[in-house]
Amino acid sequence: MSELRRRPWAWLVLIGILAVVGILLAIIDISIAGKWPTPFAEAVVGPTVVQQESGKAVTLRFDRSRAGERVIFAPPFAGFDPISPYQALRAFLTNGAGLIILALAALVAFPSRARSAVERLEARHGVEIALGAGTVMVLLTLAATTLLRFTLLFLGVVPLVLLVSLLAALFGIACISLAIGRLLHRRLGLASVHPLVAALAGALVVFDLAVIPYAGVFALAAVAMAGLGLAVVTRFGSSGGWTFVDLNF
Amino acid sequence: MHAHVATDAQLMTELPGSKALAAGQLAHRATGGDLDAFEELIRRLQRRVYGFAFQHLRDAHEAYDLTQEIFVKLYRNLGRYDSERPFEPWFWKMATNTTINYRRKRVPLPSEPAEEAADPDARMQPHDPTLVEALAQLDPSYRVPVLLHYYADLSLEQVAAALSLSVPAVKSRLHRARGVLRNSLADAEELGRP
Amino acid sequence: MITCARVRVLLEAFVDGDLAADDAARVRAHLSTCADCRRQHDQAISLPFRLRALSSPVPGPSLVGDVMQAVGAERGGYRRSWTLLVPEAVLAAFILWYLSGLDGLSSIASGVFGDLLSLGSGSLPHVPPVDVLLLVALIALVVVAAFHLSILVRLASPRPAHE
Repeated sequence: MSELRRRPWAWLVLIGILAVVGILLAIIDISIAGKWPTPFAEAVVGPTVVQQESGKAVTLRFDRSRAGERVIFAPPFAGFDPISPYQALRAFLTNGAGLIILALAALVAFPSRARSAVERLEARHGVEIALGAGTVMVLLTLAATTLLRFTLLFLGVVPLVLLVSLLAALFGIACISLAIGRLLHRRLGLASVHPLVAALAGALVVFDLAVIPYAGVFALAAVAMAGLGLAVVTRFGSSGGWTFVDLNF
Repeated sequence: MHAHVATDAQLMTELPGSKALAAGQLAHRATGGDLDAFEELIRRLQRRVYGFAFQHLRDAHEAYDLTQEIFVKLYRNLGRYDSERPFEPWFWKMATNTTINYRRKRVPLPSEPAEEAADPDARMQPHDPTLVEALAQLDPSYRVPVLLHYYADLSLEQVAAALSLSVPAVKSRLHRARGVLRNSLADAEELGRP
Repeated sequence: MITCARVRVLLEAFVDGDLAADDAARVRAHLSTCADCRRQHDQAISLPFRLRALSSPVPGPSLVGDVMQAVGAERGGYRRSWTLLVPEAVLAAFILWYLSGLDGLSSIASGVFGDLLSLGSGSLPHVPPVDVLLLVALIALVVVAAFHLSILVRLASPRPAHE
């Protein structure tokens, strides 16, 4: 069994399993939305298409095949929405692929910074520090923004702060994906593989967590906060961190 | 002077076998939270690490900072040390990475005297100034493997692991570095010492 | 009979002890006879020996102490960063209660964006009346959070703070 794991295609199997799990979770998300609505699932997987063709002339630019309307199954229990694997696959290929592409792009664009940040994340108390810093950043940003509301100072800074926070969270999620990939490599004893493949597996784990019904939004929030915290605390993975040494001249 | 050199040389080439087991055990206990074991571990390593940092950076302050950074990184990464594997290669790989990524705090002045040195020993003249000067002029990517192999006394395989290179690549770097050093030494000896 | 040219090629490996036994024996035999190659050999062997014998200044007794101090500071910093969550939670809860829950918070948020849009249209937004207590709580939360963040940054920074 362990020899099987050493083969490089063990990674392909792992990635395939993660992809299938992601699609299954998305299917469950869509189906459950009928009985116990969850607005976040709507955001991730999109609204369910249930109406039949209406006969009007309609321009179809992005869904010519209209396969979604043809591949719908009746729900197993009463009260649930119909099961739509096509829609789940579409959600997986759009949101999942979007997350993966962004994460891999960040790793390709900033390899040494990502490495520095991941090294800190894997070292002592790394995860706690990242999560703590994320929580503190959220509190700090909310409190500071509210203060600015009452003082009218630098209101224009607010969108900039939000944009930087978003970029920081994306960078952090990319680093977390790589860290999860490396963790899978160590714990499952898999063969050594290109780091982007490991990051791909890690990003899929993050997507699967996000797509879990109901708990997924909290899981994604936690990952995003940890990513934001990691990026801020390591100064986007710079080799020197935050330092005043250069100012002291 | 000779005795001093001899003790240094002896420390450098001390049998790694007898110390390695103890170092690994110390590291294992330090991982469990034993701060005394950690202190003993860095006490044993400090001369080699500081010597390596000093030969690489040629500045006592920077070498001090780099040595501290390496030891703090050791503390933070103790959890990742697998006590089944030997300690020295793992440690030197981490120390090499830290050295390569180290950003100097200030631009080093080649003739800056060490007047602020904490101890009088720092002001002593290196007993082989031409070699030290030749090393200082070597490109860092050549200097690090030279220092790791000859100064820190790591085997070729350990140096290759520390630098994430193949053994033939390390050999060729050492070969080129030795050639450059020999040329510099020959030039310096031709000009004669002042 | 090994030639000088061949010996020159093998000399590096011989000096490093990497040659096979029979090759090494042949080189050694040649060196005992050929003065030129012997001179080359002495030059080659001197470099590794000199490198090994390089002496460096002693780091001084303060190094270990400084490192242990930095390690102790890290442990203390980690503990302190957990305890700081308490006053932050208290302040945040107070502010939320004061603003009548999340509705108040979202009204402020929408107010922020409304102000930004009105900035674009040219007119200055008007400042809503605010309680001093709320302002003090917000400033306190900002200060505590900033201090907490500085501790976490120090825990993550590669340089131990020894200034």
